[in-house]
Amino acid sequence: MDQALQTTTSLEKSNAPESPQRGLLSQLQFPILLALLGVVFYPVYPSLANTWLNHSDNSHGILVPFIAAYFAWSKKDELRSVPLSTSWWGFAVLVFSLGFYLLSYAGGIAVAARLMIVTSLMGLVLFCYGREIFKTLAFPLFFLFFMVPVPDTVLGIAALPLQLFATKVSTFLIQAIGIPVFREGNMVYFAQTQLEVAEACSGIRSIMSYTMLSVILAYMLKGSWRKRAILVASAVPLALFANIVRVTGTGILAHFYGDRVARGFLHEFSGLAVFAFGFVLLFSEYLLLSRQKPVDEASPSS
Amino acid sequence: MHMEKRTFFTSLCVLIVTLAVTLVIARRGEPVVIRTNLENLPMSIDGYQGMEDRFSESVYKELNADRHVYRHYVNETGERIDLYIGYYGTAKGGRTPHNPYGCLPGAGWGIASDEEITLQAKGYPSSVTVNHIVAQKGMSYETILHWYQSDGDKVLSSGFQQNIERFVGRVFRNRNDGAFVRISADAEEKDLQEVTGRIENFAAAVLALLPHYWPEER
Repeated sequence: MDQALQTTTSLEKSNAPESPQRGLLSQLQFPILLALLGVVFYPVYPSLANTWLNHSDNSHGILVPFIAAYFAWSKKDELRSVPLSTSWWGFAVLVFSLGFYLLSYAGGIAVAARLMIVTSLMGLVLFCYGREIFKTLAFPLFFLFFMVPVPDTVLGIAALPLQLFATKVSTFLIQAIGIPVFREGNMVYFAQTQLEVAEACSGIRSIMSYTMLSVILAYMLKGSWRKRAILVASAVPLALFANIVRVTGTGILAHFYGDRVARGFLHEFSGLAVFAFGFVLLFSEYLLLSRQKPVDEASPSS
Repeated sequence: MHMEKRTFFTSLCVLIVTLAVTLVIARRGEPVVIRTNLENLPMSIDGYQGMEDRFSESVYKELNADRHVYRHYVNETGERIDLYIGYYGTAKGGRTPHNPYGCLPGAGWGIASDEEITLQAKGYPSSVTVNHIVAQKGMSYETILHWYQSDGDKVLSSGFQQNIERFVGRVFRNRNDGAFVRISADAEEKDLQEVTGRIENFAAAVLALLPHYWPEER
């Protein structure tokens, strides 16, 4: 009986690529699973989309699935030559992720439920296609974590010291160019007006988008892991630096033109200008790092 | 790309089961606040007479609660105690994004001391633990008691405890609404202890009242 079954299975297997119908079915297998995975997480999407669209700090999240899809697509030729297998580790990851998702959904922990979208997809790829395919797609898969906004409570913990730091450094710089100011907590008092360095000005909000950009650039950087690490590690200080430039600049303008420079269009504009400035710095760093011919370029680690 | 039949069907089953459970959980719906009640808290508490106050609109926008109660209570000798309650329904996640540890230094106050103290309040099975902060700005002091309250009579002093309670409440009761309660008074250095004693008594009286004025959700 067993033997008979085995014969059928092996027959089916060897027939599979030749029959066009079977071919179509097997091509549809993964899209079916992927679509179902997408449907399973339906309660998570409204609030996630809302966070992306209505909180400018998280708007880079919208781009993440598209960027990840692009990087996965660019691997399509490589994928054909990679051996397929099945990994039961993947099954474990899939089941754990889905279970934890259900618990998080029932318990109202949005961030955990959102993270499980990414981990369950990882589990599914690993389970269905095995370790080699997973390795090939590792970057786009891990990159998907950027679509999950960091919860406000976590941001809040780090925001306060950064906020005070930005206020202190900016106050110092404003004083250094000869404008008299007095600081109390996060309030900066000028002779004519006053400014509050709000939580949003702590710089922490732009850290995530700078980090995401630096990771993309590091992935494209044809160099050693050391160079990639330098690029990614510079994202946080760069975000803080750009933020201090903005706070200081706003403070100096406020001294001359009043606190309207910290509101409305001018404030939005300075935000965009400073972000562009930070991005130019990051991109210059990328160009600089990719131009230098490293000694260890030929090493297998690169 | 071809995958093994067994892998495909196993994945398919796991996903269908998850979807079924998701639909069952979704049937519970998200509760809405139908009566906030906390605003009906008596104006006369423990010999103090209350007076309503308001923050500026921008503060309310930032705090984004379902109900704020902000009152000054004054006794016969003119001593004043401030009461603030910010209530967040389940839909708002049951908690405030702000707490004194962030807001005091941001407003230029230093935290001179921070400890947990226990209070005895009527209607609670055992003594409750709340936070006591002494804030200082120059020569002025403010003595502050604050805690999170959930499910009527659950008092939680740390954010971590609150998160556990929110999770458990949501899983088993489909409700994780909560309130941040802050009771404070201005003081001078020499009478800090006496003022703190006064707000502790006041806090015990408020604690005894709160479960009877807990909001309703459906």
